[in-house]
Amino acid sequence: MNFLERIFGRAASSSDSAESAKLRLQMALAHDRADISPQTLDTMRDEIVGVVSKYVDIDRENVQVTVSRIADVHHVVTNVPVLRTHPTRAKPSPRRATRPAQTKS
Amino acid sequence: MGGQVVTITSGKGGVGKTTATANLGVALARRGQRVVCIDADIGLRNLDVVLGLENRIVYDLVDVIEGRAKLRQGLIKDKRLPELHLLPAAQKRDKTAVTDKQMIKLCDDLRKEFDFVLVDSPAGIEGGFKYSIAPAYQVLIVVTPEVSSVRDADRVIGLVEAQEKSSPRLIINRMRPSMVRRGEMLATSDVLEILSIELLGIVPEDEAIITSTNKGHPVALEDHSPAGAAFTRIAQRMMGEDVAFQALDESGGLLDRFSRLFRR
Ligand SMILES: Nc1ncnc2c1ncn2[C@@H]1O[C@H](COP(=O)(O)OP(=O)(O)OP(=O)(O)O)[C@@H](O)[C@H]1O
Ligand SMILES: [Mg+2]
Repeated sequence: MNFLERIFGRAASSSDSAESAKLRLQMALAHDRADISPQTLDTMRDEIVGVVSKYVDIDRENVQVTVSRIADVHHVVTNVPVLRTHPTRAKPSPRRATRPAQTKS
Repeated sequence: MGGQVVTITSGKGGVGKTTATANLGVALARRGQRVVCIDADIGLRNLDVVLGLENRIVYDLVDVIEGRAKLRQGLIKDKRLPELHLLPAAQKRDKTAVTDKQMIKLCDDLRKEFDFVLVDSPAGIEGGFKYSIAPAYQVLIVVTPEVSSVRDADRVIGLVEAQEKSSPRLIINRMRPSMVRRGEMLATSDVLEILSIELLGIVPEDEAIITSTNKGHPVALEDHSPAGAAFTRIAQRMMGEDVAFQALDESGGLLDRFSRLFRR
């Protein structure tokens, strides 16, 4: 299930409609603020998932790509929840890393 | 020196700009501030009825701007609160009757005599919005926790930030804590995360707003209603007092974190 389907799938159920309101707003505002279409955002998200998951195990379902306005500048903000670092490619860590990795561009 | 010009705007219509202007005017005047509320919604006059002053109108904003009335003659003094004044909108004209420059001049004159000049902006982002924010020193954005209102607020914030003004502050109106708890309404933290501007206050959904508007007796005239108390806290913050945010929406401590984050 891709990001768009997840959002519009959620919109149909009323139980967590606040969550779908938030996700739909983030998509609409990415478009309003930086002229990035939902399709482009979805493609970007897939490519980021591809790159990051080469190095760490990530929670693919909860990767977020949004556009935020910080002061006068728009930022593409990506939130990638990390499940654990990849044992063969990264230095093993004694603890499970669960904090989301955040990249700003 | 002189008072502050504060414009209340929203993008989307019907979210509570006029209600907020009336109640903030009342709450500020009750705290001894000299206040004038300007109804800038020319052609759709409403602030007069919300304040209960509709029977006392002789002249209006356009009469003053076009010189048919002196500024003093245009102002209606509220008999309940000696510090509170209203400059009503013209009802039979439209938004082309006023220019940005004329509003700036008018507010500059009023600033000499009042601590707060509150401008109730019309909805939208056209001429009426533009002449309303032109004189503003501070812009307050009213939003309800709904997709369309938040989206329109984002557009307005972008337009205000493009001008050389202090950054706008947010009033979230018609908040329903029980719906937020059930995951059926955007929480304060969601709205702040999306809009990333400073929170000025949260006003709950309150039936007292409707009954008080029926009577032309703004809720902020008394302390007992939840919405009246919320508007009073906002007025105190506008006066520079440090008033703690109440956890209306129970978003698990996030609200506190955000209010601290956006406090300057
Ligand atoms: N906190 C609240 N609780 C309940 N009702 C409210 C609240 N705030 C506003 N309302 C109601 O919502 C309606 C719209 O409010 P108001 O006229 O203040 O909005 P507005 O933004 O000025 O609208 P417009 O864009 O048409 O000028 C009114 O009927 C008002 O009584
Ligand atoms: Mg109004």
